[in-house]
Amino acid sequence: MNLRSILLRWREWRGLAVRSRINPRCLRGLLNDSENRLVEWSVWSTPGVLVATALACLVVLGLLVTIPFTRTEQLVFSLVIASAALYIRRYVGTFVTLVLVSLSVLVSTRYLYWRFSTSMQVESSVDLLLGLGLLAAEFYAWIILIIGFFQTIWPLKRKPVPMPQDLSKWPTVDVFIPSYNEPLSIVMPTVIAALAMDWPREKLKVHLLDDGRRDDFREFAASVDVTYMTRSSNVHAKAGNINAALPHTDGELIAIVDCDHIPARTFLQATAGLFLQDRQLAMVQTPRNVLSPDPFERKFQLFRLMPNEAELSCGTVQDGNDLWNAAFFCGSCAVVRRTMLLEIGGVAVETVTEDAHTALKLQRLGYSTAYLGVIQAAGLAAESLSAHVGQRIRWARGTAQILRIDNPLFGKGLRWPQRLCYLNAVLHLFYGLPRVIFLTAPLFYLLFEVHIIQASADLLAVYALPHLIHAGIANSRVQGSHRHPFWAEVYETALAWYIMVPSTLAMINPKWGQFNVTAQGGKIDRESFDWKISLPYLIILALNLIGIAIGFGRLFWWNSHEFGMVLFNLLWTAYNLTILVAILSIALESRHVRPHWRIQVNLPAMIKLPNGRTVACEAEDFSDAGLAIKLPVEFPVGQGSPVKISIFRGEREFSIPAAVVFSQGLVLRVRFEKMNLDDYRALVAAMFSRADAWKGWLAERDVDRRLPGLREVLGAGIDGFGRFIRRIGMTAQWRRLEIWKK
Amino acid sequence: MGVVVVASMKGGVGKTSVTANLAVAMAAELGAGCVSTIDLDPQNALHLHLGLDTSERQSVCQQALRHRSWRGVMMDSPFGVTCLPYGVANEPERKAFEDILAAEPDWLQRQLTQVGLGGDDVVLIDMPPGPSVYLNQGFACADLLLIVLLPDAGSYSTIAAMESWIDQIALQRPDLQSVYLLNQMDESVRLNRDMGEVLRQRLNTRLSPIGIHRDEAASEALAFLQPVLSYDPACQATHDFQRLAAFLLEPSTR
Repeated sequence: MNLRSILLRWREWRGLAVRSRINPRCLRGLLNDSENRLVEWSVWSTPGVLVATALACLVVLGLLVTIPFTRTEQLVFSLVIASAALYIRRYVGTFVTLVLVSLSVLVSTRYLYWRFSTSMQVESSVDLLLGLGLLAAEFYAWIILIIGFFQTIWPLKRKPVPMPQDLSKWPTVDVFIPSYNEPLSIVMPTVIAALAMDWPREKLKVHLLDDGRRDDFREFAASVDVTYMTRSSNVHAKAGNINAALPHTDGELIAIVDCDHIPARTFLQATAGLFLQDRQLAMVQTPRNVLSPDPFERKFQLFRLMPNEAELSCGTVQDGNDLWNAAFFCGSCAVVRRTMLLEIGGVAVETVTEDAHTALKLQRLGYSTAYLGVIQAAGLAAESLSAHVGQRIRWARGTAQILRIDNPLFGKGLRWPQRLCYLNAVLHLFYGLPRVIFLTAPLFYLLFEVHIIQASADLLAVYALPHLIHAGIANSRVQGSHRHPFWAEVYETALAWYIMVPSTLAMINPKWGQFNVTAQGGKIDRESFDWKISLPYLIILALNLIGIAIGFGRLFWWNSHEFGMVLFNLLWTAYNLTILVAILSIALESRHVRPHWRIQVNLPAMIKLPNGRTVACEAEDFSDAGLAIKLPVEFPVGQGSPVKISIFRGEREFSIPAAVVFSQGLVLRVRFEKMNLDDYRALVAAMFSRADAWKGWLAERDVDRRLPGLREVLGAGIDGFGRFIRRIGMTAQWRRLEIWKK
Repeated sequence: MGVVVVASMKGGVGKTSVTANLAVAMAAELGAGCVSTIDLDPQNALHLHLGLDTSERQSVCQQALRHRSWRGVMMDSPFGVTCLPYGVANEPERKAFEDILAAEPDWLQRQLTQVGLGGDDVVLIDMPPGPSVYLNQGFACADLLLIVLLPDAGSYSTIAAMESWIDQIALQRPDLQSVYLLNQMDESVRLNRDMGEVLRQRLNTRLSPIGIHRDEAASEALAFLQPVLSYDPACQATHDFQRLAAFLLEPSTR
């Protein structure tokens, strides 16, 4: 692929480029015109010009990275580049993104080079050892930054391929819904929604794969005319469950939907077209959209306002990977071609991340994989922090196992961009240690006066600040609304410790380290402070607090001769404290007593009262048990009165019998009455399987802004810290009571 | 917009109530004074829905018999709509009026032109059920024919007759649009739901996507001489009429 075709492709996508503030003025103008002329320049087609230009650019980059500057020169250089970046970021387009990313790479590389060449002339061996540790962590962060840019710079943003008019050309489809220990109330809507998908009836078979061997599942499957399958053992968990069903089915395509992912009606039509278009295509993954907030979102009440982690892993990364044909299987909400899946021997069972490994095996055989970034199913997220961490540990362990068993970096069959994408996933395994280093590095100075960076604070500022600023600008440009920088920071730091240990163990021996299935839709019925999870952070927090206290002493008395250095380390520690406190406040989970899952919907609705009067209202949230309704006016309704709730979806209306459980002010909660299957179908259709179900789901989302992120973390952190202290007080009081009783 | 004729083949489908409430909803969109209603139904009930006195002698029938214009006799209802009632008429009077209508097919058209109705304003005309001289007058000058149906077997059975009639009219008035409206829907009643589905299948796009729900508030409103929109602004029927008004006033959505 030469530059010309790449740039032509870019122009195709440019119109779709996502950015935070679209300003029509910035769609035209000198910059865009000159960039257009550059793209159309005929010189590019002359052989050798492209290579020569690339080489020249590399030489210039090398010079700009290594040329020594005085402090003032570096300051001017940084200001010029930062102003350029801040100016051009208002323009849309992938070209501008490329420029911003290049500037970030330049500045960060220059910083790292300076750190390596100038700031390491240390005095003692302790300084050297600790200094090298920090430098290694920074080097790691730099590599992650560069590969991350490579991976996400050019999201493919595929569109669904329309199905042919002739129904006989449509492939036959088996829908697999594996379940192990989830309650029937979670599985039911998924099965009903799968049956309601828009696909010729005779070409669609739904299979409930029950690894729990439960009678109520068998009865339910029979009542809705779905194949029920079970097996005598639970070998290889979900992967084994799916593989066991393969010989008993024969559909050309296999749609795999987790039992808690409710598919939209359009799921098959949106994905199957790609298979007809590309004969080499083995798998299409759609986003694993999460409807109930994860612990982070619940804690900070940011659900749907901030991008969550599930979205990031299946958002920009997948879209970016797709360009390099490295989209991976996420285990659910995906469609695979049977012949190719059988060719690799079914879903991979060698690792705990059967999903990613399956995609790797398919790619090794030269088959393509695709990611379609249109939400086609709704899932329930992991509930508690420990469950969330457990899920992440599983991914990390699995990646380490893949690295050991079926190394994607050196094994056969992959092209180098695919390998680079896998390298990024592999490198992410090791982010635990660098995180811990960043959390503790300033303490070495504040507590022990170890100078791990041999530079004056002002010199450090003119090198390090541009590095941080440009990385921020470029990342928010590339990842756009998918990731919020501060939340990403909190997320990654929270998980750092827990990912480090099991993934290291799995690296040594793939069999080591346990994993547990994420509990979904469960309940946390007490305010539980998960000591085990938060202990390491409590220790680091205590050290940081001590560091701050001593730091003030150094600032004014003991080390007032290097005021800048103390201040720099204090600010760094303050930032670390903010993140630590935010993490601890998540660990102190909020009360969550509803025994059912609950999702926000915002749908027009109607209540019909026993006396025949009605109220036009809005359904606000929805669970398998009932609805919350926002009334336009206060309306006296007795508790327990039987009502009929109508939900409107486009021109359709679905009426469901219910009873009032709670009524106060403008809020009304109703519980569904015992429903027959028809009513239940209507309910699931109304809530989930509409084609437009998830349109606008992201529309209310805040665009990436840096300051509110910080404010929210701080506010929530301080609140969490207060509660933490109170809890310690309560525990102490309770202990005294116990002693007194004795 | 122009002239909307509200008709049905069968009585008791809530036609008059639809006329009054739709007029009030349209007036809320367009502004007071932009919507007029004319009652051409000898039942003479429209003005009650709009909260007007029944003893009024100035009416369609009386003015017609005296060969007088409507100018100056339109009454302003408290709900932003002007109304011309059919009037209280004894049997000979009604007969005489209907004879005029039969003799002069463009009578209604002339009356409307004389008082300067139509154009930017909206006129809603309530018709008696089934074929009649009134309805023929309406067909001659209507821009839109709104046919009210109930989700029941009775209404369904009238559709064939209504359609053949509309087809005949279309020969003279190819520009006349017609929209079927489902009134008093109740999705929680099995028969209602099924009949609604059958009607949707049969009429397809000719059926308005917005129907009016059965609502006790609509019946109560009449007892209080009010349109349901002012009697219970939060109820579903109010909501439906508001959406229907917006739908009908926006030609691009039809």
